[in-house]
Amino acid sequence: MGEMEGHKAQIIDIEVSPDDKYVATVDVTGKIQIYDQNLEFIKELQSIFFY
Amino acid sequence: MQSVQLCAKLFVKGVYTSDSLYNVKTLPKEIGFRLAKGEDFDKSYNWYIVDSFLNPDILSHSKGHDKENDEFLQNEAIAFGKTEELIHEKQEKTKSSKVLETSTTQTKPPVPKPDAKVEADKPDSKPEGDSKRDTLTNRGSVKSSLKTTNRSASTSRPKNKPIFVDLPGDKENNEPEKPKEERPKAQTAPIRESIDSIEPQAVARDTKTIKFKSQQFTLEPNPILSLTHCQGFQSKARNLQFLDDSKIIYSCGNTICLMDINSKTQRFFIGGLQTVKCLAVDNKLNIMASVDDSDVQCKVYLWTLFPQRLDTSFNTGLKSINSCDIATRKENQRKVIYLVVSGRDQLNRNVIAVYDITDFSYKEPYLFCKQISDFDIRCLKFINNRDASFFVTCGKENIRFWKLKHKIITGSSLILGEHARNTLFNDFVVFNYNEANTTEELNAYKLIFCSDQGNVYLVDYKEQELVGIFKLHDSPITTINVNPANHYFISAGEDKIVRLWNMDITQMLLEVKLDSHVTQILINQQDQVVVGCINGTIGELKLDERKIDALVRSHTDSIIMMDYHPLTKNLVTISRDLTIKIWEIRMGYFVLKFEFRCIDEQVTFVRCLRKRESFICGFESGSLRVFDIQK
Repeated sequence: MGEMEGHKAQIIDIEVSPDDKYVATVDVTGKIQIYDQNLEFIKELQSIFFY
Repeated sequence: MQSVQLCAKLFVKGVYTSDSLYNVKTLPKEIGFRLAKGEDFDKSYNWYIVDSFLNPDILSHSKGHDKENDEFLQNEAIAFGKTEELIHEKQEKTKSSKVLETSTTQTKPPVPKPDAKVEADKPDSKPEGDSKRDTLTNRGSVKSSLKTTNRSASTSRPKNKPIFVDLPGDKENNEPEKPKEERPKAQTAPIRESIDSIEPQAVARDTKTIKFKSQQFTLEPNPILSLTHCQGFQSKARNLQFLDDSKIIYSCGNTICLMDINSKTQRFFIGGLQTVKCLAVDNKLNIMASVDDSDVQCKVYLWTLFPQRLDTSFNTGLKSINSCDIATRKENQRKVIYLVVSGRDQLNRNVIAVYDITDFSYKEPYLFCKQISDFDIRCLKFINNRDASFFVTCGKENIRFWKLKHKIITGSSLILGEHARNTLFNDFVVFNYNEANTTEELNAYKLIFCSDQGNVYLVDYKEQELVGIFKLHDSPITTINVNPANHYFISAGEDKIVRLWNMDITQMLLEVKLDSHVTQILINQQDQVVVGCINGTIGELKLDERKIDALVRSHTDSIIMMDYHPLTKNLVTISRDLTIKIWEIRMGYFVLKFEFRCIDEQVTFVRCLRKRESFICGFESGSLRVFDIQK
């Protein structure tokens, strides 16, 4: 269907909000990306925790 | 009780059991202890208390009984190992009771307390007259319990929690009599969910006799969870068999599944610890043998087919087992069941081992005989499963005929000449060449062997000679089978082609191209053909339609993750075999709806969207892809 911008490292988790409005993805380096309901990139966060 | 057998040759006599609780003085004559006149019980005998008998209920309910009873219970507590605490409390309370005795003679009404020890150690406040009715008093015997800290019991005491029903006379003198309905609810049967309900209940009808009722505890609904469907098939040496015309039996990991090919309902044989490599099934004998896929120590499991039950298992001592089969033989007017396994021992030698598994459900199987072979063995089958005397093996550069007589296995090789060189015989089929198929004489049997060079070898068993060689495939032939009516046989090769031939091997009747190469072919009496493929598919081969109807599909490698799509009610699985599969969940089984093959990289995560018919996959490289289920 489509390819999102994505991470530079292996994806370890994807979570979707109950109303499908937001999608959060996490990679092994602890980088979190948030997408909107059209799966367009909104924001990137860096977690202090990583895999 | 006449006696108790503690071990093979050790019986203990003089054991008595009773539902009633006795002390030394209230023991009936039959089980009483003999004492000479003037002899002290304490010097001759020891009185041990079962520790589980001592519980808070006894002590709490005993409050208000006479002094001797309190003493008895205290002594029980001491015997139970609470000596120090009780002695300390006793000392304090005797001091306080002395003070009370001097000041007043009025006693306090009983107040139930949860702590049993405290209740037991309370100063005696009841009038002495009440003690005569209480049979729980132990009098002289209680002293004996002080002598030992041993918790073992010489008298049988129930492990239950007794509940004493107070008689009206047990109440305090100054307490007004209450009607029976107003008695505390604690004396009624406990609620089922409580821990007490797990243990047997005890109900006292009077203070002399305590009767114990055992209440069975079950979780409801029972069973809480039950396995209804197992999706997957791991193609191994010989782990797919027809049980009857409508049921197949196959293994998926360490689970053996019995599946009805029409209704697709499954039953399971669970109990094996490792992946099952091969199965040997005999429906008439109601027996199945499964062999571990191990490279260290192979174990054989013996099952009863109906009802599904693991009866026994034993270590063969072999490093690996390639093939196994079951057959019977009549010896001295009794049917003996043999299990033959072929494999490699710890010294990497080819070994044939025969186990006597007669009456395996209650008798341990034993090694009947064993033979080391100089020839490689890939496949082993009995000529006739009702005559365990003759079996055939094939392997690298050899085909051998074996005879089992008494405890000796003798073998002879088929003369293959130049055809033996660099030929690996993968599989063979035995069929009765008699068209009427009525005789079971060995003379009527013929065999077809298949090799990795794409050839089949027709062998006459009576003459033990090679009749003909036919090249049927361009790639190695992995398996071969003949239909029960001997009208045709089917060969399957690594070229993913299944071919159907007439028995003279003069004409190819049918050819079906599949997406995976077939490792096992089964044909039942109704000419239904079931194939097991290396990609984890079991399917019914529709000869007229030249296609395969999948019964079971599976991933070929471990499943990393799965997620349920609530909108479409599909299950999405991702696997190390670089595929994403979408399963439609039907009435208790799965149907593969879509399959995405991600050849370039490994998918690592999957998450279904709840409101849209799509799911997102994360990959090893960090890319994210959205898949639409409908499209």
